[in-house]
Amino acid sequence: MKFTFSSISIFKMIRLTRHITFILLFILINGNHQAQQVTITVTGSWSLTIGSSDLQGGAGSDLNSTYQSATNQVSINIDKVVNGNFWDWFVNYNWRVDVEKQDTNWDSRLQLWVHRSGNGFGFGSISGGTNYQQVTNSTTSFFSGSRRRFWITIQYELRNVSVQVPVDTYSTLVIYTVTEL
Amino acid sequence: MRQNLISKSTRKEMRKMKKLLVVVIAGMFLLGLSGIGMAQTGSDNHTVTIVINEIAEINVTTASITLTVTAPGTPGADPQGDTDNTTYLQYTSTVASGQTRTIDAKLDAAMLSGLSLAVQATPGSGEGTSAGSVTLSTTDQSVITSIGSCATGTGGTDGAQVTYTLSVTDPTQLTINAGANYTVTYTLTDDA
Repeated sequence: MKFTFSSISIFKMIRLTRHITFILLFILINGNHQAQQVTITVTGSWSLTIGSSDLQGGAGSDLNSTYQSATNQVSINIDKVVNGNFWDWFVNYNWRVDVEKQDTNWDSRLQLWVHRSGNGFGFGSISGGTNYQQVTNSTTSFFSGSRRRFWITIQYELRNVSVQVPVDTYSTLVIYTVTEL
Repeated sequence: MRQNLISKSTRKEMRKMKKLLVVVIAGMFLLGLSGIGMAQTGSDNHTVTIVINEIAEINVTTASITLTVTAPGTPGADPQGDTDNTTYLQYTSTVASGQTRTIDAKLDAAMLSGLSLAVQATPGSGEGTSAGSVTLSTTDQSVITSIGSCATGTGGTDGAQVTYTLSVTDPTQLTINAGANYTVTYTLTDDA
């Protein structure tokens, strides 16, 4: 009688299979935490005060109707950490940025408009959003591009201001959402 | 004769390991698929704050007017007073919701004996309510009330037209003079 499998090698196989299984389990759990996620970072804000110095022509005149922020009032970074080093600048992925606002205290006569005033920096592309568009309480597409891109500058315009807007402090949250395409 | 000798418990152990391995590999496969199926998104935000301050600006369109007492057309009648309506009050007002303002007027000195000076301001629509004819004194009196947020305009005939009426109240107290100058002050103020 000849035995092709010894008891010792069978147990070795079982142990090896057990080790491989646990290693794969470890990768499964940890790999989930390290999933690559496109991110957007918005830096800056806009605060505007309107008073008597903004009258068109002294007593009897209305307020100027339109006000602009600085061209670089707000900047946006689009990023995705893949390697965690310089080579992340060259990782290729496409993305789109949408914009909307959520009012805290707002007058319906006031109109907030936004446009992309700069291209930022990156080795990919960027397009859209250079013409002013109104920021509403619904999500609308703003601009799109590819790869990591930093320091994309944003400019605002407030329109339709008049003396008919009551004295008050108005506030709204402008939300930018990036979606990897 | 060749025999494979694997005990029952060993075979059971091997089957368990095989099942666990299949589950783990299937889980990794599904995780990979889910990553492919879901569009990844991220968001960030900032605040936009707009402050509208109170504004109360008023302008009188004429620097001065002249009112003259003249002789009556019929002897024995009282001397005649005078009127002028070439002046306009132009103003810009911004107030909080529900708040209103008033324009008051006063003289800087008492009128000459035997005379009175009245003013009636007529604002445009949405620019306040006229208080009617008001005889001026050295005390502030309302000439336009219930002014909300408005801008009258700055054209030649924009704003509240002001009609001055100089009346002879007692001709026995009139005295001849070269002219008496008065300053009429208009003030746009918050209502309490």
